[in-house]
Amino acid sequence: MKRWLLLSVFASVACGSSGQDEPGSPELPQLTTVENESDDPSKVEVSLEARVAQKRYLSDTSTPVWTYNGSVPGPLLDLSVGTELAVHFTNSLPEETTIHWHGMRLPAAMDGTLRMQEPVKPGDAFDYRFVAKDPGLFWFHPHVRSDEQVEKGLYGVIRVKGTQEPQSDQETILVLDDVTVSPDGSLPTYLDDESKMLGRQGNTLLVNGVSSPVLHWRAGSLQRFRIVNVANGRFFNLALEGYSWLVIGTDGGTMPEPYETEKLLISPGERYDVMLIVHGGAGDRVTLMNDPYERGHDTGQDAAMPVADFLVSDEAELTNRSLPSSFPMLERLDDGSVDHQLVLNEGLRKGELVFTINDATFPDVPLIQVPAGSIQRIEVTNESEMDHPFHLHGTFFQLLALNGQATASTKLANKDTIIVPQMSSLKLVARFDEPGGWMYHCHILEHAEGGMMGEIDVEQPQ
Amino acid sequence: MGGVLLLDHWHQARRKNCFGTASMKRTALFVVLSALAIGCSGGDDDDSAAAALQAPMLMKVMPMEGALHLEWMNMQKDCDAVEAERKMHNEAFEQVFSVPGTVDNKMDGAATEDMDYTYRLRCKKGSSYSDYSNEMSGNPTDEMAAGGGHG
Repeated sequence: MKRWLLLSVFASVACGSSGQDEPGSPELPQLTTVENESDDPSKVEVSLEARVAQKRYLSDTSTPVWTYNGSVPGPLLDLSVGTELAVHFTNSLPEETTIHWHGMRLPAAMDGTLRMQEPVKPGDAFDYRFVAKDPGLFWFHPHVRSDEQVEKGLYGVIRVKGTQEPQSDQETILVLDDVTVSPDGSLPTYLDDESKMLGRQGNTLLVNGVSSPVLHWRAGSLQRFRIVNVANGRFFNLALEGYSWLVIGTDGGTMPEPYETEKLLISPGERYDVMLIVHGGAGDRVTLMNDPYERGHDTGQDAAMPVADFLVSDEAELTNRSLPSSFPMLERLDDGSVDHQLVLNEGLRKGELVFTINDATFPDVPLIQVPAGSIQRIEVTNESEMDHPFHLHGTFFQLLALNGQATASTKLANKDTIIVPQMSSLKLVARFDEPGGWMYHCHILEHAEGGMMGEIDVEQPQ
Repeated sequence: MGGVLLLDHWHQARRKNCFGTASMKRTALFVVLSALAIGCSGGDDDDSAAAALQAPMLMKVMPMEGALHLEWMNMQKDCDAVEAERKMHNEAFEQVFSVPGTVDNKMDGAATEDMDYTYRLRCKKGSSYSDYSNEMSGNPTDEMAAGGGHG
């Protein structure tokens, strides 16, 4: 008996409508579904095909996009902790690709990097197979020419449910992106220098693949949002007037002590898990805004931009909802002396913009070697004039200190992507359990392609 | 010069109004600024093909990473290419780069000496060219000019 994973694209959110939408505002799409081909309840087996499709970003023309199974975003893979995921991947694109499972702790051979696998050539196939070890929101995308392939639409989301998920009345996944669409519907192929410097920033913001959608929510309801930023270069600094976000988790699942914030800053690659209680009456509308944030090179002068509208439905108000105050404790990794130092920078080499680690560009960044099972402290110093989201493959890290100041114990979190602010230094700690080769890089994808990427070899036990 | 200052303000606004419903306002402003740009562009008007193509508007020449970064506005939306010329001291202008007609910025990675570099741009479509844009200068070592160079 085949089962269906929870997925959907361009289907409306299942909740009441007040009938007060602005003309042309689409409902927030849910994510697409994919068939589970396994009868074994402990496994999820799916087929993913990377292929070219058409998407309508503009009202009067369509855009050729690169997709998983024909949709942007690609399918949501819905799993539980401990589930084995098998993905039969076929590449029907005109160039080679891979799938990287961003944030998942898995065998290195399944990580989708060229360090560990041959690229999947056009017409070829590859099977990915691994167990979902950790609860949280993860995503998948290519690790071959990723700045171009992700920009064209190749990304999808994985939700791994844990055993102690918080209760909510409505849980919504927001996949944030942006895209530049020319009047003829095409995506630009030329990478200009501003886009090299800042990462591609599109002229259209997307939430679950559409621009300026509307989400209906019920007064008094407890809302949970799982948010991932899949944009190449854009940072999202989310604000919702009249609300604060209760941050209950991030890349690697929930945090022991949730905290409130007015602005939710999410760099490319990061995920946040937030909750709030809806107030107001039927028909009340609040706009989710992307507020300016200075990540370097005058980006803080950009104007605030609307992302989506939230509209209170005409259903009866819910009462007695409360926000969670704590979650299970995480294993805290020990502090100690720094084992490795990475210095991020930018500059000109032979007249071209490059992004460096320890004054070298990939693949010339010196290899880091660590024993399997060891705990390593890494100091990441950003000497450039812009923020860089630092991403480590294959394991989580914890933030020990920012500019020498120890992180508050209440902010303990498992991360795989973190903002290294301009002219600042982070001290991170990670345990490297899984042998093999692992990448680390800036998740502004143009920076990674421009050299800001390195490798860590986790050595097999003798 | 007043037109250039106005356009500089517009350029700031451009960064702030790239999305959604702002596009209509942008289009209206664009028409006004297009008229201003005609007055800013130099060269002869006796070539009808050239007169039909509007020159780009050079907005910024600013130091970046030890070189100079140029930003401009494409007044003509269907150029095949935007060509840039540069001169140093009192030498003649020479072409330094050509980018697709939709591109509106470029770093001149060869402009690294402590001196003023002067730039002008033009739109190319088929075998036709627009007039040259306004000229702007910058010194890659002048950190105080990071906001935009001088005309």
